[in-house]
Amino acid sequence: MGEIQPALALKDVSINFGGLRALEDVCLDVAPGERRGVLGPNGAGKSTLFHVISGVLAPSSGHVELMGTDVTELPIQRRISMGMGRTFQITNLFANLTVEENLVIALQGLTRTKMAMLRPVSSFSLLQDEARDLLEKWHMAEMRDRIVAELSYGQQRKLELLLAVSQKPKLLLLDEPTEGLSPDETKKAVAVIEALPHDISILLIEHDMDVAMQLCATLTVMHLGRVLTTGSKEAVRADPRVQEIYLGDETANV
Amino acid sequence: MRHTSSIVFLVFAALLLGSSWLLSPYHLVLATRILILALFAMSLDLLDGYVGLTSLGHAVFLGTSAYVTGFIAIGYSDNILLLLGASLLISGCLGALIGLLVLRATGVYFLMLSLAVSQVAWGIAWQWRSLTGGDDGLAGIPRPSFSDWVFVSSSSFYRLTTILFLIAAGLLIRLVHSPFGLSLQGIRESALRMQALGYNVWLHKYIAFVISSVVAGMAGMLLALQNGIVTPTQLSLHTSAIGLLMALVGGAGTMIGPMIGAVVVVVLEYGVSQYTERWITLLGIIYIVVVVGAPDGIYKPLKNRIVQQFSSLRGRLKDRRWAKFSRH
Repeated sequence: MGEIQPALALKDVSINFGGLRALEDVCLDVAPGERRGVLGPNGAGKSTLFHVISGVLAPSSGHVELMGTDVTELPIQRRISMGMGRTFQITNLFANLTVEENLVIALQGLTRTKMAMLRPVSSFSLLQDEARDLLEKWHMAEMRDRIVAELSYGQQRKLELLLAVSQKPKLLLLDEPTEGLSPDETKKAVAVIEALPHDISILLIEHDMDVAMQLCATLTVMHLGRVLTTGSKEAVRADPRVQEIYLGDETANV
Repeated sequence: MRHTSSIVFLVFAALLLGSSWLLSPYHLVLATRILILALFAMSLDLLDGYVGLTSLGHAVFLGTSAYVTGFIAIGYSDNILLLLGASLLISGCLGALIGLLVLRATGVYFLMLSLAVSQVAWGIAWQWRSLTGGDDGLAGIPRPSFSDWVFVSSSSFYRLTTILFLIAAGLLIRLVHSPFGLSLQGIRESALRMQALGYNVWLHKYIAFVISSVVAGMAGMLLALQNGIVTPTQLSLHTSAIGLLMALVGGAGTMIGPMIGAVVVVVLEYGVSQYTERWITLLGIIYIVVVVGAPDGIYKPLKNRIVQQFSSLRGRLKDRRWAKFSRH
């Protein structure tokens, strides 16, 4: 038992959509504190993989283990309360609420406060202070009372990340965090993710190979629902199969 | 700020209670009906405006509770505490049961499921003549009493309604501003994100649904006691739709809006129905006008305007003070 449990372990995970095998015998271990990137062209199964890990989709076979516990049968919210956090590729925020309300919802999500029914939110001073401090720290204090739908896309992506990080997850799943951002905003987002505490294990899905290589030392490349290879970024970059399916595609697009 | 809302509530309560000595019996009947239907509209607002679940079957709670109130008041006792306890219990249990069924769906499917359930209840009330009196209704419901007090006069029944209304409305308003209320709004905006933040979305919806049922049940009890008769209409789509219309016209997701909506609809119902039978057509037209002209309902734009006026007034006062100050 003395060995260190991986933060996340996938064991022979497969999933079928009708006749389509979207994931096939996927095995993946993420060590505590590791930052792992998952790369692959469109249709490689990255997003499906993410849904299986976070509990949106149930695998047809195989197991998902979180910190050594089998969570394959557990609903999303139970996995979150065990220390998983996730962001969404398509920004998924509470659009008609303010920035602060968004954050307070995240902060109270893992506490018993969320069931309090007769005291106004504003009277929970610990929660309010925590939200204020975080917004200050993330340089978002001046947009505290703004409705999220009115924020710029870049700000929304940042809030997307803040909501997940504010719950102090042990394992953070990032679904294309720089999707749709300008090169300048991408740089900022990468800096924010880089600066996250290093005891958080991160599993990052990225389309953009540069971003993945900046953030992660180890990369897993997926292709047609299977894990093609896992290795250091140098090894992955040098792998001719990766060049063929991934970079080959990209040069073809240019 | 926190004190401001308490003061507003107290003034509002004093105005409501005070008007029982000022208004004529005719207007008291009208005001009582407004308060009862406002409760019903607020219970719908909790679902529609906060959780994002539009129900077209909420009359099932109002109507069932009204029938239960009738049975007990006619056959057993007219003690208000007993009637209140029984109707809240019945509507809560019914909500807990129906919630299990209808909360499996969202959006338009939820709407259709809730409508189907309430139509079943309506059918039963219509067919089971020996119990409910069928379309003749359950008549002869006495006004309630509490030890020596009997709430027979329109002013005493209005005061009873006001007190129950204030308690329920106060609790509902507190609820929507609580962390739990915030979680309901989160569910309205994105249920998946709520799950991804550790919320048991189903449980929160379920609790809100049961609370909403209980409030609708309270409205049903009061309606039965005011009218002295319960008919299948109280269980019908018409009743559900009127409640929803009040919430939407006044402004869903505000809790204050439905009260305004209740005033508008009931005043129209009484005022216009004296001249024409087509007042429901008028309601339809009003609904279309509101949806097109003020999709947020009456309350939100009104509130914004008042807040604006208030702050510009404050600004002008400040300017004047500054002007005085700089002259010296």
